[in-house]
Amino acid sequence: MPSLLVVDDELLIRDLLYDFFTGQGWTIAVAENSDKAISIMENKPIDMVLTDIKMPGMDGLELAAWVREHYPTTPVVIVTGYPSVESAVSAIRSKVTDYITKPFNINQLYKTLEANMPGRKETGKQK
Amino acid sequence: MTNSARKILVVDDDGLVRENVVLFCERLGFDVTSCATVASAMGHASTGEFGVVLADCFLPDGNGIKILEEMSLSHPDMSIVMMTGFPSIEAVIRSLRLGAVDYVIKPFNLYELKTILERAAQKHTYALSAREALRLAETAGSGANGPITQDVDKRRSQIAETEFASSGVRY
Repeated sequence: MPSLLVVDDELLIRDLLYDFFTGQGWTIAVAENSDKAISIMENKPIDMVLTDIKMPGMDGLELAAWVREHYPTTPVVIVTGYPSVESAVSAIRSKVTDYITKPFNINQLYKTLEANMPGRKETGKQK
Repeated sequence: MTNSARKILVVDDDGLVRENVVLFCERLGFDVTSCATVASAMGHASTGEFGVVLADCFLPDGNGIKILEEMSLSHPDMSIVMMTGFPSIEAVIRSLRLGAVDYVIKPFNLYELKTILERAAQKHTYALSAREALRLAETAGSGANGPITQDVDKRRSQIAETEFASSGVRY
């Protein structure tokens, strides 16, 4: 069963993603900020991280860099309501797996995450 | 580093930019080939001899991302860096999804370019190492869950960790 960590400071987004992915049979952990996300990752196995960029404290790109350093094989997908060239370039440099803009189509998001979930026969690109 | 990691293809139709980048890359110790079109770049890159490609997005005969699109499939070990003076969020995201190792916005400073190209060369070397390890495991005829394959998976993970640790760059 895939395990996904959702990191977003918006409760509505966390709830939406929790309900949807739980319904798909995935194990979901949620965090409202990067510090809590790090704490979760240090205490339970996580297959993939889905994170917002703009959050209080450490932002999602910094979290992606932390994940890359400590869990180099764990994919990180960025989702943001404030896309910019600068943050997308930073995402490339942090070797994130994908960069998705809000509002997103949740079924499309599901396909993207599923395609890049480690252990799948046909995973997405390996960076 | 392997020889291919020091072989770079520079693609830009702006002659002045191309010449300056070529000179700079040569000073960095790269073996440089340059061209000005997508078609020419495809011809060079498809030989597979280049570890790094630095390609402009806007070229006279098409979008430079086409080079990334095709080479990421046919030569996945090749490190491709896109560059442009007219960045768009769509183009950056597309480059990310196609596996670009970096995206440089003109005008860039040469210190930044040096860091980016050295990291791209290093990534190519790691990719070759991982591929070689996998080839050895497959040659040994081990099953998907055999001890050699498991060892390769471990080495791949170690390579990924080393890659990050040795990049020495925080953006």
